[in-house]
Amino acid sequence: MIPVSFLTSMLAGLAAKVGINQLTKHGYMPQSTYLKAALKALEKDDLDEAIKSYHLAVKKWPPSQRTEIAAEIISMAIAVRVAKLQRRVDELERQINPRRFSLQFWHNLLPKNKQRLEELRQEQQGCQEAISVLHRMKEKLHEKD
Amino acid sequence: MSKIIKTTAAGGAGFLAGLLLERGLESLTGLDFVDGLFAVSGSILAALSVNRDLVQAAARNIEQMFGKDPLEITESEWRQFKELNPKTAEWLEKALKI
Repeated sequence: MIPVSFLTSMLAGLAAKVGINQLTKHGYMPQSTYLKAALKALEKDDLDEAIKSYHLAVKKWPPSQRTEIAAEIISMAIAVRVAKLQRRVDELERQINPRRFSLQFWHNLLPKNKQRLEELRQEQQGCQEAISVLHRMKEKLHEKD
Repeated sequence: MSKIIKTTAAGGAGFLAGLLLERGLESLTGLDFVDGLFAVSGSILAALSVNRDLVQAAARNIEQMFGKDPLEITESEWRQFKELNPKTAEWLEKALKI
């Protein structure tokens, strides 16, 4: 037989948990809770979660200096990733479409390199798609709900 | 002696019952009770440590941007960072008393 007091405390714990979950979900918890979650997500490279937590931080509370800084940090993290991908796109571009009559140009004409060139083209396309996703994320970050 | 054994057995049974009930409710509701109990204290701790997290996140960005430790960046690199992130730079200058 489970004691009544034990069940009461379990129910109280359950009610508190559900209540806190709902408060957290709707942006009623202290702003720093969401900022911390956003920065934690950013550390784990989870930009979607970082942006979501940032939006929750400013959903019910007015923007503060700390939220502005967090937005700048997230935006900067996106920009750093875009720059890295862009460097790779440029690097691939030089390999796929080299200067006419350069060594790479003749190298690309060899039939044995066709497969490799195709792979490079696919990688370049993947990088470009990732860049556009990151740009959309940046727009989403600055969007007002 | 028998009293100690009885108390220990009752305590162990209570612990197991609580654990089973918690696990059962967790699997039924998908809620983590231990997390729930610490959520409030967690939010207080978050408020205290968020400044440190901001500094660390900014430092990581500087490291990724320039490929070196934030302590090793030059004056011109700092100015470049400041141009791109005016609010963060200003806040860092205040927080770190640069």
